[in-house]
Amino acid sequence: MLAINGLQVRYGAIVAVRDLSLSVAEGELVALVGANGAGKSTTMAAIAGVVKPSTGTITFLGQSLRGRSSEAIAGLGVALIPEDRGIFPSLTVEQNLRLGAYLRRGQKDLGKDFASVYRRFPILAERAKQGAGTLSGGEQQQLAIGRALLSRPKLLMLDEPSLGLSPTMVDRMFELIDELHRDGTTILLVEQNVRRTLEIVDRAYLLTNGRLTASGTPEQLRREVDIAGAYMGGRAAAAGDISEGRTG
Amino acid sequence: MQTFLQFILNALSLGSIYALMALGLVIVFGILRLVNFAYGELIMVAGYAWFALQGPGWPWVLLAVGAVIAAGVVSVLTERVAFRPVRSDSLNAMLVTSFAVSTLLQNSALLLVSPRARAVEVPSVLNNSIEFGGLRLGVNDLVTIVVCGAVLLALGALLRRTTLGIALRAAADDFRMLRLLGVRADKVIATAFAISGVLAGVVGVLWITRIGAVTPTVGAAPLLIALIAVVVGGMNGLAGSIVGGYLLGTLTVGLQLFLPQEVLAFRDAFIFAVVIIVLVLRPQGLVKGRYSAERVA
Repeated sequence: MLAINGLQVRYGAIVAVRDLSLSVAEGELVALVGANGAGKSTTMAAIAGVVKPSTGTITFLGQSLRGRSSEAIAGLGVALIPEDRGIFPSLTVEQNLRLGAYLRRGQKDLGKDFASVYRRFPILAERAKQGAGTLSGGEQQQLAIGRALLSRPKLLMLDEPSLGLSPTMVDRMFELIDELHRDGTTILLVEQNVRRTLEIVDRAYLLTNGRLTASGTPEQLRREVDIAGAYMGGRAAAAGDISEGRTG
Repeated sequence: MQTFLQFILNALSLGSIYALMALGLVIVFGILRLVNFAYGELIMVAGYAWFALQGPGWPWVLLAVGAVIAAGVVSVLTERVAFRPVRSDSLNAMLVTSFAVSTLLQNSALLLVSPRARAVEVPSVLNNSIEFGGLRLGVNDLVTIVVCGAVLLALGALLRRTTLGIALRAAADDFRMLRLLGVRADKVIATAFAISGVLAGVVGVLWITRIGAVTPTVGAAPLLIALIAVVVGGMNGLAGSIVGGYLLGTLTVGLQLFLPQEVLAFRDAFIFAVVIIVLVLRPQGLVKGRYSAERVA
């Protein structure tokens, strides 16, 4: 579904992502993991057309995304939930959701989808008329996901969905991603919480300083734990996260 | 008491024109971070459109609608032809472009019409006044208040109820995210310019029927007023510009009414003094807004 080949992204003199190749198949849940500044978010921004790659190709459903605007890429069915969630604080919760359905405006089954979002996130139904800026972090993340789902994305990209959330909310978020995956949504996930991430994904790519350093199924990655630990800034915590696996 | 009511009425009338002026300027600013210096010329366009249409003796409403449409169309055209090509460059490029558009439009009026003022036929009813309980209500003022109120309500409904209006407000919050949801930047920006142009058109009609004439530089004063109203009210939201507009209108009328005869010539100096005091005390403007500092490329 999504194929990236030899991707390089620069911010001025700094190379944020170099020679990255990866793929996501339909229905898969794939994660990009790695330390801060490893280039995970940049990779997602490049896919979504927010930043322009200097070299490399990105193809989605057989179509090249190069040179396309982010609105055109969204039109192809790619939805990105950025790290800051991108909630519009001046609008109500309902108006935020309405913009999520912008590409499908006028479609008949929209009401059904709104109902299903409200069923999945009851708090959003409760706060529908409230200003979105007044929501808590966890509620905002639910709004961001609900909004993205309303566009019925073919590929959903989540950038650090658990960032800044309370522990119970983090649990809920991972459950939700797992749920969406089971429902058949293709997901590309960026996460800092490596242990939890490896519990739910089909495959993962490990990025270090903009380079791909390991990839494979969670089992394969856990086996390569020494390499991973070293690349993740040599932090014992990170290495521990991976080797601990399901327990803990 | 009568003086006071008279004062309220005049302040409301002038204030609502100023509020519309400011709104037209800030609706583009909120999205592009661009102070469109060609905004005054849209008001001029409305004036000349009125002047051009007034020959055959059409009804006033038709002239007014024609003038508003002309300003709206020219506004959208300037966006398409002048601003869009430089949008991805620096903000300064857009600012300079707006000066260029302003000069171009002014000089077009100089060349195509005349450097001298052209009289516009003002509906005679506007100069009448209604006696009401010892109060003299100018028809002009009443029409202005009603028209501006209706425009404000319509704009409010547009921004709250329609998808495009909601997208406009969202664009002022976070344009990058709006595009990620599949909303075309060009469409949103063109809409903002269209609204700005229509507001300039309404202001133009009201302004020119007050003055009774149109000149190539007729837009300079409204632009300055709008800028001051926006800065005083707060650049970061639509509410601020409305507050700023009404405040400036009230101040102007108040000083006109209560200043002693011998210092009346310095009315504007007093206005600016108040503006400076406001900005010293509240540099962010009276109304705190929410627009981010980002700009769309």
